Amino acid sequence: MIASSWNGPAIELQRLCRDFGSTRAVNDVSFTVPPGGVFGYIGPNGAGKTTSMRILATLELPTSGDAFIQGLSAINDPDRVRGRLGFMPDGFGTYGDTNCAEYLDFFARSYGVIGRDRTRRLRRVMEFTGLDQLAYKPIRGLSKGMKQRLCLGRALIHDPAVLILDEPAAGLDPRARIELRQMIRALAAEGKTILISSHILTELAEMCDSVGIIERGCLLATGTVEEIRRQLRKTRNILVRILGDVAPAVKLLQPHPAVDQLEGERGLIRFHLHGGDDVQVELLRILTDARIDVLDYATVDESLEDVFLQITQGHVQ
Amino acid sequence: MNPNQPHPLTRDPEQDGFWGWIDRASVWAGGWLNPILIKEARQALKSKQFVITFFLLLASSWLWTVLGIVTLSPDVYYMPSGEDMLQGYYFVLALPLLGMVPLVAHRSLAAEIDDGTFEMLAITKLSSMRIVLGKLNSALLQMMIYFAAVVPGLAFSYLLRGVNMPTLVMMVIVVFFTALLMTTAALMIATLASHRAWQAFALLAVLGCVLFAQFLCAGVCLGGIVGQDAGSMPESWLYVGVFGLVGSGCMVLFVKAAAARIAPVTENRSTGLRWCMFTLQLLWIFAMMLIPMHYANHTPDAYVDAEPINFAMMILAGFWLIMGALMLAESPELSPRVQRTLPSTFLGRMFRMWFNPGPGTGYMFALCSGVAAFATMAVFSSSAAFLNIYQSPSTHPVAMALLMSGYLIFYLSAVRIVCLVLGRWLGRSFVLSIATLAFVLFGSAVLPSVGSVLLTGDLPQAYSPLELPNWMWTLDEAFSRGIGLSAAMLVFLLGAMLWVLNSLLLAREFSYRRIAEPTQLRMEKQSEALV
Ligand SMILES: Nc1ncnc2c1ncn2[C@@H]1O[C@H](COP(=O)(O)OP(=O)(O)O)[C@@H](O)[C@H]1O
Ligand SMILES: [Mg+2]
Repeated sequence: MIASSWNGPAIELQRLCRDFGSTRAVNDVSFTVPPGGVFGYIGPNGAGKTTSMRILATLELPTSGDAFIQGLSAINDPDRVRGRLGFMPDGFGTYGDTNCAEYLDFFARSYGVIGRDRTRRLRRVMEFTGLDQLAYKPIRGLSKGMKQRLCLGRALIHDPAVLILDEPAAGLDPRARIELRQMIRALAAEGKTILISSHILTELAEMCDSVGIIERGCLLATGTVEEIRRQLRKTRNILVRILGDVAPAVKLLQPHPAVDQLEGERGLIRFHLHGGDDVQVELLRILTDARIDVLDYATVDESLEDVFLQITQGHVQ
Repeated sequence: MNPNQPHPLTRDPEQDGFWGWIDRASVWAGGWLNPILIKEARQALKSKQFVITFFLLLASSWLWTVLGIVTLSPDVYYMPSGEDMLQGYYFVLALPLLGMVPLVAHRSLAAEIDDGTFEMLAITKLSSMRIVLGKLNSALLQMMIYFAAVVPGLAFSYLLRGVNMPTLVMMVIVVFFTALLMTTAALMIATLASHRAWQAFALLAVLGCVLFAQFLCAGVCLGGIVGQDAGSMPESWLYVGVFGLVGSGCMVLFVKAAAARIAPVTENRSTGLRWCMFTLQLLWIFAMMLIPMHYANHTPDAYVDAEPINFAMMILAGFWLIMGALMLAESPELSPRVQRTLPSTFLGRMFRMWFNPGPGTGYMFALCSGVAAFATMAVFSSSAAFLNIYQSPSTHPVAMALLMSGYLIFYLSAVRIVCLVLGRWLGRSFVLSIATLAFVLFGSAVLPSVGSVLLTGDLPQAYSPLELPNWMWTLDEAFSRGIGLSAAMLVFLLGAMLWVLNSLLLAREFSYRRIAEPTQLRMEKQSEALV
């Protein structure tokens, strides 16, 4: 490998746009992923995930904007970008009559991995993906999960610094999903920069350092899962547990402008709060000042699905 | 095949001794081979199609041996019968080599593109050129193997007498060369059809080429080479050499064009191709001068026949019209990557700007190269006339050069203007420019007849200068009774006028300048240079 002096972002998209006829598949998307970061790219079908990933993988050209891998443009220096990039597309063709070992061997050679490096990488990748048991198996006979492993193995064969995985978990059974997640975590631990897409936020939440939510080509939000949740939480659900009768507390809270959809019964009050942390504290003070016995005063987390549904409006292209 | 054992591909060759050394050497050599060749060889060994073809070939070779001996009996025991036997073996060799191999190569590349395996290949470090060469190498390997199956038959016909060794060798060379040329053409056609809808047409085109080559090659080999015992005539070796030279130029052009079609769009895919076209033209001029000169030295009354040179000019005009039309489909926007490599010095800009990608430079490149070539050939013919070793052709070479230049400039300029207008709605594409070229040529050819029917109600009876737009009739006339200098001048002037109109639209493309490389790229190149 070439000693790289680059210490900027491993992946960078700069105002990327891509039109297909009159459809704008990717609309002014910019984000960066630091070296070693895992970035989740989340959006419903037709959001433009595949298109932007294909641009990064040097397979597609943007209408405008640029995409960089370790500071080199995927558009203008594709030959240099290719060596440091592993791409796992969402659907891919294979040579049906080759077996797994031959397939990986072919790609190792194509990436210029030869001699002892080649056998070492083959052993390493087949062990990592668990393909060593299936070395002789023709690709035509592989299950979906095994095909995904093979595809991941192919993306890893030249030991790239950056990995782009397009919906790797789509169509897998739960067990295969878990195994895939473990593999991706192991790769992240090795220090690889990973861009991974999915249409399910929860699937990625635990393994990503940060996520970007894209819909209809526009990047709606980026940041850590927690940041996004907070950024988008304009209303929060508050649950108050009270010792004794709830009526006085309800009477106090009901008129407050920040409170909405309040319901109280048998010692429990729930309401939606519009506003930030300060309003939440203020409400608690009102209750304690009125000497109401508050047992619990908690925000109830919205599930990630709720957040996702809130951000995206369910446009499917 | 024990699945618990590590796969042989994942093991390093570790044994000592002779076999270990062989093992290590072959692994080392395999590292340098084209990966596609290795992959295809593996696939071929497993594929039924290949195995069946090979054994069919072997079987038909033996079958013909038995059948031939039986039908030629009893002559075969005391008469030289090699020639008759060879005819059978020729077909056993030529049918798979000229038919099967190009088709398989075409399908192999086309399938790669529409099965989606090509994209995975494209993002590896393999250059587009290596991908195409890999396919070509696989085809060559197949040809060798098929050839090996027929060698015993060829040797047998030689032993039967009646065929000379040089003739046999020439026949094999011609078959191999034609097969290789067809294969490169088939590969190029495979890259042209990017949509499924076009692939059927592409396959038809390849089939057409293959059938044509099959007939042509059979005629040349059996009638010409074997029938005339051409191997013992030095003259026929000259022809083989000359056509081999031009054919090799075509092969390189086809391979380069195929590689350019599958290369990343931001790459400079044009300059290399233009050098290739230019070289091909030089080879063509050289070959077409060599042949008359050979006859001038080897015939008793020592004259240079200028008619073939006129003919060569006509072929060249067609070549530049098609190439020019194809270059018109290039994008006028140069990617930053291309702009980084543009010539930057004054001299460099003067001489190499014609090779910059873009439709405008392409147009000028085709015109300048064509006109320069016509001028060269006219000067050659005229100097032969000056030296009195010259047989006057029907049309004077200078008139022919003017006529061809005029047609080339006129039609290419017309195509460029039409494409500029239509391109606004339809976008640029090879299909559009070739269709426009076909339309312009056809329209211009029927124009005088249509005019005559409208005015006089009858088709024109004899050739007149009014028929000049009808290039077909004009060329026919040029090679029978001859075209005068003034008529040729007229065509040239018309072309020049259309060129002036066109040149107003050219300035922008010639104003591209070199831009700097990005810092990160420059740093990386420096660190590579240090290693
Ligand atoms: N090759 C193409 N031609 C035309 N439209 C396309 C093409 N590829 C993608 N699109 C369109 O671009 C939009 C984004 O697609 P895609 O990037 O595949 O979304 P995702 O991967 O997020 O599901 C969709 O509307 C899709 O129809
Ligand atoms: Mg997708």
